[in-house]
Amino acid sequence: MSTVLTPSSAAPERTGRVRRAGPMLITGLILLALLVLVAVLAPALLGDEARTLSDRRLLGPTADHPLGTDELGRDLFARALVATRTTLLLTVAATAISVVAGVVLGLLVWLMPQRIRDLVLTANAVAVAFPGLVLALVVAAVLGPGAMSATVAVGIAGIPSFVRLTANMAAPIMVRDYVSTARLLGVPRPIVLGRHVLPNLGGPLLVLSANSFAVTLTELSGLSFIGLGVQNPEYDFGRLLADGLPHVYVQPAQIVGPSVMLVLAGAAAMFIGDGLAARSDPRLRSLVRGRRTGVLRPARSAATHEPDRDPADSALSVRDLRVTTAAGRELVAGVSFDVGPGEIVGLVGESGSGKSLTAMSAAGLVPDGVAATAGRVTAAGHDLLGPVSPGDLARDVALVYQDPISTFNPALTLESQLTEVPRVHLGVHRRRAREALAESFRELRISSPDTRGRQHPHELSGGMLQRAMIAAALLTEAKLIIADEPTTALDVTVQAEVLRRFVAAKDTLGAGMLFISHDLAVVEALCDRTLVMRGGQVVEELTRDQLARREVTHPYTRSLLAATRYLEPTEETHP
Amino acid sequence: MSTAAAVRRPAVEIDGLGVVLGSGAHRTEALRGVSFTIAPGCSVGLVGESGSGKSTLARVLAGLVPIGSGRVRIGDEEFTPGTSRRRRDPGLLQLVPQDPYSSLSPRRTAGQALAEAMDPRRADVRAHRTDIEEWLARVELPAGSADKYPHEFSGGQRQRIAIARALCVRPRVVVADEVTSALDVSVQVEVLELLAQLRVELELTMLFISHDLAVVRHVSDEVAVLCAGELREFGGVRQVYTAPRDDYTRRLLDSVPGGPGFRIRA
Repeated sequence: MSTVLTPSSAAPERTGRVRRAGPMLITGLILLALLVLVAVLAPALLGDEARTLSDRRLLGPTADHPLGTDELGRDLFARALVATRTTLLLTVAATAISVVAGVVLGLLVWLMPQRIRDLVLTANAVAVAFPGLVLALVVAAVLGPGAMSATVAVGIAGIPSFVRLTANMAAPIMVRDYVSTARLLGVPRPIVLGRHVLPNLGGPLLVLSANSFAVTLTELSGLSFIGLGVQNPEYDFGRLLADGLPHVYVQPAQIVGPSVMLVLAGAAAMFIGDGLAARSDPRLRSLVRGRRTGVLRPARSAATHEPDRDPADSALSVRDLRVTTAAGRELVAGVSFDVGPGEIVGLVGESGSGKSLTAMSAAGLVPDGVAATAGRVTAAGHDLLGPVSPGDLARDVALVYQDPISTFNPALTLESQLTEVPRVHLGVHRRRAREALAESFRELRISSPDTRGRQHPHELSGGMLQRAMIAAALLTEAKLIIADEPTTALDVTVQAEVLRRFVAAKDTLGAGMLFISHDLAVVEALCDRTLVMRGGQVVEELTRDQLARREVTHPYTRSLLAATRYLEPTEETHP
Repeated sequence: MSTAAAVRRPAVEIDGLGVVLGSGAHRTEALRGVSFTIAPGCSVGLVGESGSGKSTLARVLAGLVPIGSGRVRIGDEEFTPGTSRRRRDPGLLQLVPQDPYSSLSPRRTAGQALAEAMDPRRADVRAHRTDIEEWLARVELPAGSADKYPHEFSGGQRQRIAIARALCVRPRVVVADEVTSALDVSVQVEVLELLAQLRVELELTMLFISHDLAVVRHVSDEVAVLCAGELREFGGVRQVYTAPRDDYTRRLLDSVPGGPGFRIRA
């Protein structure tokens, strides 16, 4: 098996459940462990040294005093390490105030009637907009300078942003079915919040708390620095910075200790936060690991295939297509088929059968994270294993995707997206293209076809967008149409209409079509030939007549057929 | 349908139900003058395409959408435009939601999900262990499922958990909202057969909602066809499928691929 695109070092996807900590998280955790160690040990081991006055004042770095001494002759290296405990404790306390109060309030707003909730959240938004440090200054000034008041001040200043984050993150969970079902089961609202909402916020909140720790650290140190925080004889990093500042031109080493410690503590929190975020979001994780766009490659051992048909004669010709994950799992295991001009070939299978991957790879579109190889892929006369002009491909191959909503660019009108191929590649005049689109819309029973083109995707329902995409696909002079579950999202009456249009288009355009569906009944009605896929392989190939006469041999096709029959209307015909 | 059921007082009575959603430019009449009844122990299939108002009807019955006009009676409880927001007894009606992925909390095991239904406040799994296992077995889930999390189940298995959760309350009425539409064809059949079997076993009074006429056949005694907020047809399964009285019902039947009236070639 070819593994051209698979770096051997790539972590196997299968171990997805046992999520590995990334290098960022490990770095952060090691840093944090060191800081905690220092915070625990330094006051006991170096406390005396940090307190002892001597007459060796304002020294530069020496062998005895690696960072020199302050104006009272105390060792600055010892002081920087000893200050770690106070700084970390105060920062943890302040962060805890922000997080706990913020999360509780953010959840409580969901117990309020909507009107009051809106009011509270608006007031909170104003508080968020107010600079946190200024708010902390005001609170600290009111409470009087001191470690306690600075901690409370910074803690309170951080609450509004956590209220907002919690309330916003809870919003999509509140409308989930499991929340409404719990309500229906008679679970009281406060219990719903604690049982269903809070646990599902856990991951993101942890990430945000770690990041908030870094912000709190700088704010607290800032307050100590300007004299509103920790007071003499106590000291934290901010206090040490303030003490060293007057002498910074004489002895720059004075501020090195607290600065480095501040940076280390902040970096530890940030690394942990980002590491946790990357771990909880698999998409981000793969981005971190290095994104690679899937490419279709010629198979290495290009087994000579019998030249059963000249590829130029068929709309689509695929030989020995294989799609493999980075972990080496074969999603598509050697699929070969042809689609003749004017022929509709159905690709049927259930989820996970590899039918969509096969279809998309046949159009040269290989998703990220998998490697695709083939002995031959010729679409509308273009050899996709070699260089192809994207313009020619866009003209000759039309695609209809499964999910219409994510296919459209939300910022552009339908018209500019759907008439791109005729306008750009076929040189059709803009007005002519627009009229043709409106005509195609009309045939697919899209309401108000003349004005639809000027709308943006969000103004149409999913079913309507799907029809618009099909209308556009039928508009081009494509030699091959690849449609991935094009009617799944549609109502049955509309589906029937769309299928009729496909049949008509085949007759008039003479285009070949690859039609992917999970619905054997649809495929039976539409397709000239049907390929049944399961587990990445084509298990059976049937002509229309064979399928109509139920001449199937593979047990899987039989069970699929039985399930489909079960879901059809009664066999008794209505008059 | 048995004649005895027809004589008894209906379990659900929907009378001239009207619902308006949104206001101003977005105002839509989701339901208009809909009336039908469901006899005790009887199952009604509610069919309609997108925008027909079938999901709105389910949400009205569940008390999630207020009644605009008309009235709805479930068991002995009567709901009118003024009372529709009243707090309800969970034993009155339960809903099996459409999407098996969003209907179970990812952080709660199957056992916890069922325990919550049996004991909404404490949701103590240990206290209800035997009941939970009995219900999971009833929906044909393998032993040991109680301690597994939703991501360890397939879509069809999740839907079975959701069904067990709704039924273990022993509600007077069950509303199943498109419970098969997110599933693979063969899994759809399994879930439908399970529901058909449970319907007989537990004498369920059920409203089974689907966009697909073909699907409701196996689990319904009667069929209601909704189109654009209006009830187009209501009748016994056999009559609706073999001799539809309404043009829309006929068009719907003819649009089902594989059905006798399905034609896409000239």
